[in-house]
Amino acid sequence: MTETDRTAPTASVKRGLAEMLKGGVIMDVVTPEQAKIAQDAGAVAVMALERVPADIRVDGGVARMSDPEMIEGIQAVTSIPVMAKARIGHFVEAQILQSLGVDYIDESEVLTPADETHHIDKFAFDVPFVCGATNLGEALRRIAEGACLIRSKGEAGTGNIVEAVRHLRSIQGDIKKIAAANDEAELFDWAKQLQAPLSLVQEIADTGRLPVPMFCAGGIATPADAAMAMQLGAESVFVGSGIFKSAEPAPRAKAVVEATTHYNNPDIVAKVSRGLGEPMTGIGMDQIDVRLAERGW
Amino acid sequence: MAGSSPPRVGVLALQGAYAAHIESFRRVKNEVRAVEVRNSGDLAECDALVIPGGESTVISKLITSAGMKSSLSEFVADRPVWGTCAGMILLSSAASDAEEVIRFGAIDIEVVRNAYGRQLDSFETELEISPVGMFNAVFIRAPAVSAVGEAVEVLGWDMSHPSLAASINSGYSDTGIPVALQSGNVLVTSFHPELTDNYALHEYFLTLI
Repeated sequence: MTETDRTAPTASVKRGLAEMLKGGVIMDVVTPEQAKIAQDAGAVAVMALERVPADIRVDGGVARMSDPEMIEGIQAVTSIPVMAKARIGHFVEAQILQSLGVDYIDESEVLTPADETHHIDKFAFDVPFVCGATNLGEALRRIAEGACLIRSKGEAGTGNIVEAVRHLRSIQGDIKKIAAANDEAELFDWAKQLQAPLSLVQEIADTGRLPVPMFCAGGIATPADAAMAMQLGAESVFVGSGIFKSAEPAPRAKAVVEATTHYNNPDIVAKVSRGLGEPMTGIGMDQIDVRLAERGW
Repeated sequence: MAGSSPPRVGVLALQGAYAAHIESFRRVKNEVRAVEVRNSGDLAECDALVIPGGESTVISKLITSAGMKSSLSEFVADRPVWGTCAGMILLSSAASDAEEVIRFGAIDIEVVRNAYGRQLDSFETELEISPVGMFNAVFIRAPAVSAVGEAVEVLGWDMSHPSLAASINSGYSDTGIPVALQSGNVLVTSFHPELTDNYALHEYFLTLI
């Protein structure tokens, strides 16, 4: 299909792809070889990036969008959707990713922010965006800017699920409270407290859910982590460093996929958790200098 | 349908848009119980099955690891079944990608995966679907039907992609692509009725039970 046949996508089209990714695992990959391993293991999509978060954490320096050549190399070997990351506020990186035809853009705190005030105007793009959030206010601000999918930020590159759990519980907890609000006046107050648009708060009060799907990211390293995120209400999981920083990526990837599908069946999660070799070495939150989750405004 | 109790429609819930289908069945005017199906035991209790959209490669792997391949194969051979998008791929006839994707051959059509292209080529358009009338159809990285068997009825066409239609050549049209088809009690759509608030196709599927 040629560029000229295209019309601007409707909201249903932009949000629809996230529906297709539900109940799945999106895996970080840095080479076409890893992308193939991820696809063969049952990844529902891959996130193409230059270094996984654990390495970004160790290497320091400025983390940027990946080389287009590397993204095209990954697109060439996969039939599943390919996502890629742009720096927070870096709309030109996002323009490049759209020009490459990536299926999703992650405006990500894992990369070094390019703008300390503004996020990207995501309505200006035809490719849908996913953004991280630590709480409901942040999630709703991103949705107001056009994000079609929200993920918990967690603390990427740590192999430690604790922050993602905090973010999921915070977002879900506030959604439940809003759904139980007694009157409009309470919703006005919620909008003020969350620093979020009233219309989105009212939508949550009506539907009892976030206006877009919510996935979990940041620190997932084991099948049990994935199943826990799903039981806490995530609709899919992103696994970053957890796969390719482990001793045996392929069997671990497959096990995380099965645990995500059968998250409510402890017998299956137990079965797939056996004999996977060493997971990535985790880091405690008191051992890290940079909190990636604090990036974003 | 057994007795007078409402039919039990299973939605294969291994991966993909299964929750949206269940939500749609909750909103139809008919009485129906829609349930998630994750293993052969769940399936055995169902009168009909929906295989939803998602990633066909992933759903295929999860069918195999859940040990459901033979029970699903038997089910789709004679029970009412509806495949949307990835589900349509799984119900179609054998193709050369057998290592990656299961094709149950429940309906005599050939389907090309990701034929429309990537997410940038996803689109929404108004179509005429013969049993239900005008329908706003949402296509997400959609597959396309490239050949249709004699016993299969085409219920609706996408006429907005003539160049793709010509290049995949669906046998008897080089201007349109069949997007909704039926053969007996097997229904397939390459688009996603579960992403809209039009429940007419969900209601139509229930008439096949």
